[in-house]
Amino acid sequence: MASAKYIFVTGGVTSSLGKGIISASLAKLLQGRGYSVTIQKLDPYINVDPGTLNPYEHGECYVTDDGAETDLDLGHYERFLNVPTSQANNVTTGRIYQTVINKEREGEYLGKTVQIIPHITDEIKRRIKLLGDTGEFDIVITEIGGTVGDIESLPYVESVRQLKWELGSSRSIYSPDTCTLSCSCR
Amino acid sequence: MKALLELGVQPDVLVCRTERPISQDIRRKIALFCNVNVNAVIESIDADSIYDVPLLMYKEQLDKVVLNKLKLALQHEPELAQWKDFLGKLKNPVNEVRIGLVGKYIELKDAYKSIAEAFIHAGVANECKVKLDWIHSEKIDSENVSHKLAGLNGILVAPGFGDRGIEGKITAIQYARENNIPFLGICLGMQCAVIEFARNVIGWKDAHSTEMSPNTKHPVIDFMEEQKKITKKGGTMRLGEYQCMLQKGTKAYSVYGKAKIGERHRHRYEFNNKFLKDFEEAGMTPSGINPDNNLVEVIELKNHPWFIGVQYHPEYKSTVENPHPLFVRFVRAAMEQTRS
Repeated sequence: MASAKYIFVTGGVTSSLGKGIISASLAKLLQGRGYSVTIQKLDPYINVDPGTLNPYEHGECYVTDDGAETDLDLGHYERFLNVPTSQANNVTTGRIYQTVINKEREGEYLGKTVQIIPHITDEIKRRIKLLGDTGEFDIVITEIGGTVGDIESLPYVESVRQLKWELGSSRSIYSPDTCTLSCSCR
Repeated sequence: MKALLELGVQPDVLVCRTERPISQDIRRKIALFCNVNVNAVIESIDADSIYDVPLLMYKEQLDKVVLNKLKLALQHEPELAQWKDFLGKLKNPVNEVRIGLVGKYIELKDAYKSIAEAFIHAGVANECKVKLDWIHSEKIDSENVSHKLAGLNGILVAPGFGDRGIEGKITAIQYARENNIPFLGICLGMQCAVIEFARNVIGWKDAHSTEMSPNTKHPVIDFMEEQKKITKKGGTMRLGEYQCMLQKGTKAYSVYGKAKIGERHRHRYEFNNKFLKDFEEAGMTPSGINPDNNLVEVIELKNHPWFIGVQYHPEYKSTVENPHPLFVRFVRAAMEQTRS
């Protein structure tokens, strides 16, 4: 199978206004055209997963087959696509930092100063490509939670910028391997 | 949009949420100022149902714009026959039932998102509109229960944690049991059904879960053995899919139509098997058991038209294409209740 293509869904102004439903709907149409599609949600909060979040603030905690406690948008993805999601489909800033800090403690950075760029962004990019690299999907839709411009989302948008460049430049200057959607609100 | 450009990301497609249709003029203007093709300005108009959105996006050709950008073939037109059939039934129900959802987080309906959606799927499967009454468990007591739950064709007691609202849930379950109202209890809802049965049928007035009453003489719900060593809160519950074997001849078996099922879990407490015999003798059947550790996953009542409690979360597995059988049959039982 050819390498997976990536669609990034970002949002302006207000968070959580239908981005998840737009992602799921687009995925449904692409699935209906015969493509194998999965959707990933990147959440900018520092909790490792939403299992410890108050339902009053974040709504339901959705649980996947493999036991991941995830954002409720993953429920929409499954309800629309009828395909199970997994831990890899929901990544939080907390999980990214936990991985990077654990690696630092293991000595994997060989004395380097660990920074947001490149270490955090590299880990974000690795997590984004994880689903595409399984070979199971033609298209991976990655939804960036929160709002573009928030301090929490900056590393994610930077990672998208780098990935657009890296994935695109290896094959064509027009970057046909990624597509970025920006959802605005009224 | 400006923030995105400032960060060096030029979007390829703009999805614009709107109350009213966006004219061609406005689309051209947005396209011009945001450096995108006019075809890539996508209108996302308010919809009655989230399930309308794929067709609205199809109308706006979002799929085509994206595939062209990705240099992927359009292949065939999207296969959406089943989806459209679902929408047709969603908008043209021939029956209606009222189901009470008893929980403590009802101020934010997203707290029960998957349950609400599972009812939509199950309603469509039965061509029936399911009207959910959101009832706060803290506001139910034995004085007002018959008033609060009057006219309901089914009662669902929701998952949750902790002490708050627990007596309201138990009172609602007693009402459902004594008045033959179809009942579905999920997770803590199932545990409350066990507590209610122990107190009011078996007669152990102090029966409780050790989550709320650590020193009760009748801990009918108890901390799971594997949980006792765990001190961290995050990601340490019993999570994800586990197998369950359903007993032939039970309601649960007839719902699924097979013995071996797999469902998703999220809990620390379980049915206390020490009391299993007492429950069976009094008329509560453990109709689903985990074959590996004998954990009671499903309970039901013999002398009730439709009373099922499940330790797992069936709502997570309900989809448009595969409505969950427990919700489908619960709605059907509620429809039958309207005729009785």
